Amino acid sequence: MRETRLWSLHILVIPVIAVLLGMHFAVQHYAPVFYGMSVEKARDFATMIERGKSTAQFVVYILLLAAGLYHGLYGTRGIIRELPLSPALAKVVDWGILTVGVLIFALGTYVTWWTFVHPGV
Amino acid sequence: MTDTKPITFRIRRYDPDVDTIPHWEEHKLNVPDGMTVLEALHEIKAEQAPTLAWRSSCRMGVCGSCGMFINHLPMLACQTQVLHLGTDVVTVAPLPNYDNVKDLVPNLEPLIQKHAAIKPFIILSNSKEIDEPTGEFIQTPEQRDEYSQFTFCIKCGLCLAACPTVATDPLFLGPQALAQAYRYTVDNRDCGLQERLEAIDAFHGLYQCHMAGACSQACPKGVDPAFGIQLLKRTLVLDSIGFGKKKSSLARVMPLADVVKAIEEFAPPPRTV
Amino acid sequence: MGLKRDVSLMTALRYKGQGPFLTYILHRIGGMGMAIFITIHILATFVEGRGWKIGDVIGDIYISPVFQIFVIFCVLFHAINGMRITILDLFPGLILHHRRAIMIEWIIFIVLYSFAVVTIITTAIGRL
Repeated sequence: MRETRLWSLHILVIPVIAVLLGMHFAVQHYAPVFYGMSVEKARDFATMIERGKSTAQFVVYILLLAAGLYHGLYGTRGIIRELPLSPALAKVVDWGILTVGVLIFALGTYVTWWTFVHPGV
Repeated sequence: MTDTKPITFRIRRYDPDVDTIPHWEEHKLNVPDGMTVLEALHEIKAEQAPTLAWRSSCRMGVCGSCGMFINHLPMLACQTQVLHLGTDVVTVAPLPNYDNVKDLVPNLEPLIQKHAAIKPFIILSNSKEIDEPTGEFIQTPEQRDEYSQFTFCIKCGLCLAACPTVATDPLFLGPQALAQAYRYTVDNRDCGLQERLEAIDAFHGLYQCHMAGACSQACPKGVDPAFGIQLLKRTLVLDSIGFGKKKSSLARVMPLADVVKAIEEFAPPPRTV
Repeated sequence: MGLKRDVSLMTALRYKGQGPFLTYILHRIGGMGMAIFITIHILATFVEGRGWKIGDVIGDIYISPVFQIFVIFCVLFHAINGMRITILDLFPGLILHHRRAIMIEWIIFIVLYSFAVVTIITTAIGRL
């Protein structure tokens, strides 16, 4: 049932991404509507660092990173595996994608944590 | 004399003994109202292109032999009236997503292999029942209705020709096999889901379907394979989290003694002559 | 087997599967576009914190209206088409209305995308 579980998780993270990405968009791109702040100010480094100190943002970003990475990399795996690959090469692709996902998750988590602990501008 | 309309047929020709690549041939025909593409091909073969090859049999849309790529859509040639296509030039090519044997003849071996891979037969929980039957299986009309539309499949292969995933991933099981997998899985007499999982729950199985829906559009018999695939996904997901239906073929066996009684109850009236 | 098939890749790509095929292709393009963008996006936030020059280059690309229009296309189409697929996955009976669902999806997408494109272009013009 491995493929069933992988696919089920791919579908389950969709509402997670929809909600969290919506929140990310609201903060980054619709700041004038939701915060009465100009778009340039909302994307300013200092404002971003200030926002990054919030525990809620930390949690949201980690969850969004995990959900988005899983969803995106599962889809990418689907496209790459459609190529005529030998079973051994298919396994290499699977492990390669898992490795890339873990690395990008680690990098994204580090950046988010770095923002969280930043002393401020 | 019936009114006819001059139509140009652009037919893809390929003879592996002579050609290295396929080429197009044009044939003009005066087409009367009601003439199907298959009938037109017979006319062309009789009068203009005696070596033209294709598959056909029943001429009435039940055998599935005459699947072709007509005006860039997969259709049964015997069910497609030329004038209903609405074009003065009708292109006829072999089904895409299959190797071409000759002219309009596709190699349907992948279709058959994929169909066989999902074990398209009733798998009983008690295999002894096949050799030593203790009775008849009971199936209510409601239970039969759950899968009956998927039994309309005539294995014409149009759905695999239409499927964009089959075009990019030749190992994908395809809508025909997956719809049939659902047909047997949901049959109350069958207990073979676990045996079919090896083919269905593989990478090139069920989850490579990306809901393009072209298969249901192409299906000439109303099977709606996309619907079958969706239902199969639901069945597998529920089964993976422990909410699948537990089935036992033995539970639905009507003992032979009761079968005999039922036959006697519905015996024909006595002869009057 | 499939690699020996007689239909060339170009023909397979041009195959007129109509609406459903088009949504399938655009869904893939949207997904790959987003995957590339998000990878760069995550790397860019890492780079920005260090003040590396490459951060300025990435910033210039982000500001470009062409890039923004492409990214919002990928996000919007993939999301709306994905929602249609998810709804049909969860409620298989709705597949009877598959073509109608695709039409509704296109209407929603065109409305939202037009709004986004107008916003992007007016912002870009305002910056000139």
